[in-house]
Amino acid sequence: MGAVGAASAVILGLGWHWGCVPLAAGGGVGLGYLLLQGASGALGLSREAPDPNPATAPPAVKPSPEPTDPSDVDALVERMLAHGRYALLLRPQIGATLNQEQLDRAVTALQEGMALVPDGEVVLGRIDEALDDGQLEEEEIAACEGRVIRVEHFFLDRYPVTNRQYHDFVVGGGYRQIALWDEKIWPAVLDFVDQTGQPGPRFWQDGCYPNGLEDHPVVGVSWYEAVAYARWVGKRLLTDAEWVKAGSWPVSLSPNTRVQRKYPWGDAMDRSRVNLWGSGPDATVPVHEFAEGVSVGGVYQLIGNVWEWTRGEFEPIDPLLRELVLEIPMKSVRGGAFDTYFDNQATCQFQSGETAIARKRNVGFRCAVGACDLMLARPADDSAVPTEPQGASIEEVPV
Amino acid sequence: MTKGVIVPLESARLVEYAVPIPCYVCEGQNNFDAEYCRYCSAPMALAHQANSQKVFPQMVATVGASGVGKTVYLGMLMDMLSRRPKQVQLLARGAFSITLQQTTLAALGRCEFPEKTPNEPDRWNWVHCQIRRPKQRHAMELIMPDMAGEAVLQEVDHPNTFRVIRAFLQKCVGAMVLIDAVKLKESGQSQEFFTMKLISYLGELGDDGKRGWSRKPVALVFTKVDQCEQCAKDPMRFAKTHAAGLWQQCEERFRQFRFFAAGVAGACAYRHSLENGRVHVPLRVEPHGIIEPFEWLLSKLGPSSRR
Repeated sequence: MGAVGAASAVILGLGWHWGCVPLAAGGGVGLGYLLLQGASGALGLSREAPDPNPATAPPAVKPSPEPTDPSDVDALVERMLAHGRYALLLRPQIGATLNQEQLDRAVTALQEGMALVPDGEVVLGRIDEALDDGQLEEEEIAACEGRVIRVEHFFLDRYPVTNRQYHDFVVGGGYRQIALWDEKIWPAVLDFVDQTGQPGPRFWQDGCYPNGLEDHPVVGVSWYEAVAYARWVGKRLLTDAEWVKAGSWPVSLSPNTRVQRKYPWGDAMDRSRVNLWGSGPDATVPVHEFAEGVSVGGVYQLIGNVWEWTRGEFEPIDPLLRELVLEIPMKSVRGGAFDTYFDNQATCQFQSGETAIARKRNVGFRCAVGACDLMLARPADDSAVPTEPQGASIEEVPV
Repeated sequence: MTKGVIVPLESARLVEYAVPIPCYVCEGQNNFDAEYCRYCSAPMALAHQANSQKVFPQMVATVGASGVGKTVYLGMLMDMLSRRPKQVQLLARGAFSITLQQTTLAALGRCEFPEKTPNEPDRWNWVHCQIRRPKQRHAMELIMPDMAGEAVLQEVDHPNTFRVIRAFLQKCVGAMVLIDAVKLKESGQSQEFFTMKLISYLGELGDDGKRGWSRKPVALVFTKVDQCEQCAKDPMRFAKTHAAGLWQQCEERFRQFRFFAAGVAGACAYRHSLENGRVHVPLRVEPHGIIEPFEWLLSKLGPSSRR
């Protein structure tokens, strides 16, 4: 099989991935196809009318220096690794087509970029007061109308998605690939533009982030943009239960008693560990700062810096468990941001809401992927390409 | 025959009763042990503190329509300024000065807005505070009451209804006029008309060209801008676009004025209450633009006078 044949295998494999996610387009889209379409803008999802005089038009985004030839498999894999799309490469059907060196590099990238959160139960609800002593009894959970939810093990980005990472998505034509976007949001995608009218986060200019903010979390993105990016890198947004589990790191001491942290580092607020109002520069900071606020699993800035979109819907209940009414349904955001004023609104449990198309300066996101959705080692029978996602145990992945 | 009893004469007490204490706001004469001024209902603690600490605090008004967010604004302003060690700092004078901050922050911490300020002046929260600014040798002493919007409206419509409001505004050295940006944008001109009435009232309070309101700094603060991005981005332009009459009146009446945008809630929902109907609920607290109007106002004020 020549280079074109190998490329077809990879592309077909990637097509499997796109077939797995709920694509609005309704069909699988291979990466080669994405590359071609992204380069040409052939899907026609563009805000501007065609420029009659292209020579004088400003560049839409920084030109991508990378090749777009889908027949060059190695270059394609290199490019995906460079763009942090290793999770896509580790999908079983795709991973099986990689050579050992490529697979190893993808696994290494996964281990560097993501932390493993073990499976188990986590309690969700307005339980912060009950958590003051760090322990939860069954009676306390019931009194707070808390819910016990089981979470399977998953990988979680160690850092929020940065401007630099999101720039790859923008330059890669992410805003032009309708397959990445929910169908109902297609009309709004044209309005997801930066200060200069180019596709991209709200506070960028000319399709690029402000100088010096490359390692800051990307903000000014709607929930739909976060979802599209996550799909582009082969990941997804977290569920609320996954987010709380990653931060509060619960442990069951007995059938009736659980230990669950209020903050990733313990049960008391320590403002030196987080970028909240009054403890930071009143703006975002690079994602690797405030390292003392890291979670048990090695995840940075779950609390503070930016609120994070999750997959879940916002539950309209106030701290006194009274039902609230929303003008528009909201998506859940968690973790607090650089301008969050109260400590009790920056806990692992605290949930706030934001409309899905809001593009605020203090809301970003991070991605997750289920461990069972990844191929972390080559199967013993190398010839067998899995037809369904296979499980991966924690022991297989030293993190 | 009755036996006479000699009662010791408490001369000091008699002297205290004999010497009236003028109210710090309306200057009405009160007994030394009065809690509130018998004429205007302002707390006499303001006068006692001025006498004992030998300072004459300046007065700054925070006014606006009912429900515009005066209590939240003042409470947040106090709390934010009292938590910033290296910038403009606020030090409350007297326990009564902390009540506003306490009640506001307690409510916001529970994801609620504080209860509406009652109309009765003796139930208002008054703040006497010391303001310390970096690179400024002398601290400023300020008095800032949280007056009910409905009472202000009554006084504006029917002057001398509330003596305390009139006396206070006459003595003020500057004002922060709060305007609900969401109502201004969505509900027509009622907000604008109220603010125009208020500005007109202020303009007529001081007919003295040297000490009148035309020379005093006025910060016009659009509130709830978390729900009005257009206003948050450019409050001056928002004013020209959505409150052209107000803008024009400010141009005519004030030599020093500026529009600002402020917000406290990151997002809002509401709930239905049997007592109060539809009640707005802040989903999280993310103060923006709270300190800027106050700092601008301070920059326009002179130092407090001393005895």
